[in-house]
Amino acid sequence: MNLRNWDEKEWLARFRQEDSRNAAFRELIQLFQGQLYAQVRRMSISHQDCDDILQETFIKAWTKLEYFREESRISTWLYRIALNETINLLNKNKKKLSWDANEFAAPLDSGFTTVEGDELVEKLKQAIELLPPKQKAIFCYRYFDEMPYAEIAQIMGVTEGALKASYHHAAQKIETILTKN
Amino acid sequence: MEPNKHTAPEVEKFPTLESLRGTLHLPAPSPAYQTQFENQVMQSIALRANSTKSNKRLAPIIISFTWFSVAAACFLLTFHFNPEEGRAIFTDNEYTLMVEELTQASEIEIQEWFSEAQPTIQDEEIINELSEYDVYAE
Repeated sequence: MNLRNWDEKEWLARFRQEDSRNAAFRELIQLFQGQLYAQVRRMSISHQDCDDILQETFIKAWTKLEYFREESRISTWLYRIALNETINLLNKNKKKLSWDANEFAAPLDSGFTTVEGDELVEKLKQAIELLPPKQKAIFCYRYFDEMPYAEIAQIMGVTEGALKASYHHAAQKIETILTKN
Repeated sequence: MEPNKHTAPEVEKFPTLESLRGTLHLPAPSPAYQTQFENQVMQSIALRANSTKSNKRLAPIIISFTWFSVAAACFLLTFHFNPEEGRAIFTDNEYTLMVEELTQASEIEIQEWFSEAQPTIQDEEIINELSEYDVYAE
């Protein structure tokens, strides 16, 4: 099962039935865990915090799916929960959090593989870390995932115009840091 | 959402940033971690569901007890305690009944009641103590 042939309505129907609820939810985790992990992790979140955020995201999804009004896609709704959890954590632990370069230089305990980056890539990581939480989210959605503005707007609940301006400012800040000696 | 389906032309204005596109890779979760994570989430959901069930069982008891306490406090405050005088008072009904009993009782019975009502040493101590606070000053 992958996202391309995933039928959201059929899935919701299975989730709403008591006997198939657990299996359906496991399927949802399998489908979205990787994407959500990448999105949360890119926002300067350590592996452990990312793991906690995703657990909380899926638990909230389980409890709130009963009341899901189908006004947006489930993926958008999941991203919104994860984003809110991430921003809460970033605001709570502004000083504590850092995108630890060592985590990228050596494999993590959980079995993740990493790619070594050169000096410029390191600068890029540091520059992203300097962005305020919401701007960081917008930048990551757009730069890494190439997500359409319309979808980001749905996730974040802001206008496309505001998003474009925010993305431009973020990119400008990062470019300035990257081109500095 | 399908990754890499949409391009981000805005970045073209930032050559250094564009040149770095695709260089910053995040490690993908391993299948073992994915399974472990999935099990953890399902376990947490089951635990929270159980805790919610037990909370739901306890809720009526807690609510009943709270209402009972509030009702008892209201009753005591309204009918049996005058905060200005700081001591118990009789309601009108109780007072009427007492007067009726006294008027119907024989003199001997009344004397017996009064002798029983003589303050003990302990009562006197309490009265003395209270008088220091002007409660019995009148």
